[in-house]
Amino acid sequence: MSTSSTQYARVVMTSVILALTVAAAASLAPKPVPAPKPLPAPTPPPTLATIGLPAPQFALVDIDGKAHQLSNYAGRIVVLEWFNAECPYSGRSSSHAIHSSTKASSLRNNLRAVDPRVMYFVIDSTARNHEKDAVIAGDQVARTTWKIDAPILIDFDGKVGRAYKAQTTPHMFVIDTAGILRYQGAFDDDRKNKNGDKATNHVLEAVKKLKAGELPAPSKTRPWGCGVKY
Amino acid sequence: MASVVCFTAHVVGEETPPRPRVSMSVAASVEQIAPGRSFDVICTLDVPTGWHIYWKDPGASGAATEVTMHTPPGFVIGSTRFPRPKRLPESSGAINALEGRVHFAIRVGPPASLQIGQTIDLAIKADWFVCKEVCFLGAGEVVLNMRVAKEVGQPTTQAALLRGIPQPITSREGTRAVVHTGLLRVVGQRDAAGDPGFLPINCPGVSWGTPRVSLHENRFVMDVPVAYDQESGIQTPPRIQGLLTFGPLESDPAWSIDLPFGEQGDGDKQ
Repeated sequence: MSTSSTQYARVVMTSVILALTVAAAASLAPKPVPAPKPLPAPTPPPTLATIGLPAPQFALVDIDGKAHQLSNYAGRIVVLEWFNAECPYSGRSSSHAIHSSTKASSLRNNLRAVDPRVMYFVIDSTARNHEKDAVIAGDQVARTTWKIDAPILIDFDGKVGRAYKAQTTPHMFVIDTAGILRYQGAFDDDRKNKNGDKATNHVLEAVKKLKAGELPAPSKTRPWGCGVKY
Repeated sequence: MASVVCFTAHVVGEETPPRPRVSMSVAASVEQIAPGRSFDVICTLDVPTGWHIYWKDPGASGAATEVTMHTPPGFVIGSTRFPRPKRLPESSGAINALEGRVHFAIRVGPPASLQIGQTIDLAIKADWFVCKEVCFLGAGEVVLNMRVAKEVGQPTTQAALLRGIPQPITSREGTRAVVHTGLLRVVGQRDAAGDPGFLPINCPGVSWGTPRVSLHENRFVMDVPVAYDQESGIQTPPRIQGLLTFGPLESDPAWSIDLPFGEQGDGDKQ
């Protein structure tokens, strides 16, 4: 083989290798792909209730099967009352109970007088040693017996109660029209129901303050009653 | 003189769970009283096994037991002294429980004007909230008849029960409690029952930090951070109250602390 033919063969070989390399590189080049679909965001855990911060959101079903979502009541003052049909400070018949003594119905009437748009929810987080159906049945009896004209929401897994750090039945919360938690604590300053008209209902006072454009004071009181049976 | 058992109920209506029977009895620390000479009244509540009632600070839930006394005019009645409670974990937060046979004490100061030979009626009333899985309200009332003599009578057998009820910390030798710049400091001698601890009585607007204990041979220093939130809207000046405890058990020693907030104090007001 002459020198020129050898050089020619090298040129051809080099060209072939170069062509193969370019082809291989082209096949490895990133191809435009459609943007990946975003993964569904994990449900954020409910933030814990703190005075002055947005109240934890919730979506619960009431004892009639109707769904209620806190966000649907934006622009309205919302009052939450933790409830247990078996507790003698809450839903059982007792001189100290806020329902059988009619203190709770009086509160709801007084709240409507201050602001007819106030939304009042009763929430039952009772679960320990109970079947869910039994809790609902007990609440239905309590509603009829004590004429509770507010939705009773079932929080059987206790997520909402724990987000609000609900400790007792009753334990009260007031959320303002912007969704900010403004009061949490006791129903009133008369646990033994002895003071009649002289008792101060902290919830009513809190709502009155909010309607007057002021912040409730106190914004926190110590709740009394039975422990929530999560 | 009198040690009467009494039981009443507030609850009206049907009760599916069985109501526990809490019995109440009352006794004086002395056989007879004398004009101007203080004595103690001991009120005992017997709580059935598995059930509990609540300390003066019930904890995360519940309601404090209340023991009150009604006397003829001129008597000075001290505050009710509670036994050391047991911390019980509950799903809604720890509670301060009293179980079994629970003794309360009230110091009574008769007037110097009492007539020798007369009989005095002291009415003692108790309200309790008894719980297990369910809760019940209960109350009892007992009248204690005490004869007035020239001298105080011999101690009764029930007087020994007073030793199991926490005394003011001022009565603990070499021990001092002060509140200063956001700190409750307790200094004193250690106890064989175990390390010192603090069980606060919570009141609105007052928040507590974790106690820090340092031990020096046979003495201890315990610092408990304490803060008063003036924005809480609570108008009543708070008091710093709680129990200095030794050891883990409710039967271990405990001493009561009661000081004004923000002022340097010295133990217990009593």
